Amino acid sequence: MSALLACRDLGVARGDRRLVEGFDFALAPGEFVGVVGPNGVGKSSLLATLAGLLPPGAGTIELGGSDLRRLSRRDIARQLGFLPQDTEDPYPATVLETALIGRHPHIGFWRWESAADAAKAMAALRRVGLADMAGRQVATLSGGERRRLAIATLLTQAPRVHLLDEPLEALDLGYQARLLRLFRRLARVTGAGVLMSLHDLSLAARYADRLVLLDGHGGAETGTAAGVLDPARLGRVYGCRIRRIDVPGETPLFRAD
Amino acid sequence: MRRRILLLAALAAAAAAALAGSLFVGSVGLTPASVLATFGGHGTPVARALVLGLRLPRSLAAFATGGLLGLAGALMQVLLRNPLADPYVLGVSGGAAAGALLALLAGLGTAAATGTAFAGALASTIVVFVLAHGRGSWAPTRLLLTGIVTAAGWGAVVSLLLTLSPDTTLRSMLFWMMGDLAYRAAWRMPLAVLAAALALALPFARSLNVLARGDLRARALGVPVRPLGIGLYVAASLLTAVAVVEAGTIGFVGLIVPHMVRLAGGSDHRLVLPGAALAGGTLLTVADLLARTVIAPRALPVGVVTAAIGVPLFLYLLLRSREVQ
Repeated sequence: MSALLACRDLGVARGDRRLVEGFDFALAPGEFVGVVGPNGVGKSSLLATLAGLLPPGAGTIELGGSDLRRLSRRDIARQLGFLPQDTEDPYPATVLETALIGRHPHIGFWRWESAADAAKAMAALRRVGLADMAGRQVATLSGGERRRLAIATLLTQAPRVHLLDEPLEALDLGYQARLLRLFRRLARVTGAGVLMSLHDLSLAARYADRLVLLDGHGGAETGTAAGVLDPARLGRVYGCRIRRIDVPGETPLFRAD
Repeated sequence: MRRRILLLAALAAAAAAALAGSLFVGSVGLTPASVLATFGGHGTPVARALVLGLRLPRSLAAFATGGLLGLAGALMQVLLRNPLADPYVLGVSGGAAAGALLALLAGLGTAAATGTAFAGALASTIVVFVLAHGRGSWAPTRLLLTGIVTAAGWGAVVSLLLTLSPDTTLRSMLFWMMGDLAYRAAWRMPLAVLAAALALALPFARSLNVLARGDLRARALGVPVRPLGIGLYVAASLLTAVAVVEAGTIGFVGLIVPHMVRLAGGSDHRLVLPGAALAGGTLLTVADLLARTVIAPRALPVGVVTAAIGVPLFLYLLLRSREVQ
């Protein structure tokens, strides 16, 4: 099957720093890929570049077989959703109104949000456990609840490709696992693609089909968790000793010493 | 949805009531019956001259100016993602005033003054935008500081122009600077600009809802952020320029009005834009009514009245934003 999102020879730079070089990658339908690496290695920049929000330093990106540069922002937004690391809501709005923003690329210029759009937003809120708060003001939510609302907005957008920049930030342990399961199921059941940056290597090893480990010097190691999360390599990349704790019958745990 | 329509209907009713009220009240006491008679083409010549020749054009001019400022404020607040953004606070009105004064001093007409006012307003908007754009989002302190400095700079330019202006026109120019509707009661052009701007902006209201939640997010949701942003600059600057040429620098309407509308009906711009235009018009009509009656037969500049309402509210908003952080 052809890839949902693919890049060839991709370069990502921030100022003088070449964060990613010669990166070849393809996100297949139904696949859940995790992006890991220390702070500042370019996880966010890579995701934003793949979303077409930052110009690539080199290389090409294809979304659904078309060159990303030839697609309008609206065309991209119908197929690809991006969850930024921070979201802001400077003006008063309810939780439901905020989730409904996700329908924007799907609604015609002259049309209003329909009852069907509202139903999609409510369904998304239910999936992140915010259905009871649909009428609440966003300003009254906690940090973790806001993060879940941003995820609900992405689910309301219902794209084929989900790019998420640290969606688990500020979430409690229960919701971390719940949302990872949600996205894994979303990929398996609907054939959507998920590419997510995250910090917890143990969770990454457990939920992702494949991992991309960035080292911040241009290198990117792609493969299964067992192959990528090699303690010696992790030690070099993170600059500290990282131990793999094998648990019988389960995916391994990772701990920095 | 129903609540929004109700709110807009209430605002329209308030606007109609304010406009009607402003016809009945004035420094010269006319009985309600004699005011009503003028509409049928009857009434005394004095009453007709007062109501149809003075009060009606002035009220419509006040309404149009208030609507322009309210809409300009609402648009700037999306652009800068900051509820404290307002054409007066950010020095945009100051730029327009300096531009207009320059044209008037040079002996050019009102049309040229509108052009130079627009140039001044646009220059201010661009300065504020370029200088205050912090990393990621708009830091409120940086934005306000840039605005204050810009406004102070224009204030100096205006003072210079006033010193250079002949004594005969100085008093009227000073009053115009403070915000006064007594000198020009041309209501057709401002009202037409207001209607056109609203009609142009409304189809983009849903895009503005997305844009209000951040550039990056808006782009990710398919909003053409750059062209829309440029459109917003130009529109906000033009609306401010027309309002300033009409009535000088009237402060705080663009700040108070969108805030009140949001408080009453939420932040959906399909409500906020027409709501801000209606409420801005109503506010300035009432403020002008107060300005010409409280110390009658003398009249206050209307800018004094809006400042009396706007300054405490602005300080309150600033205080509250500190508590939230």
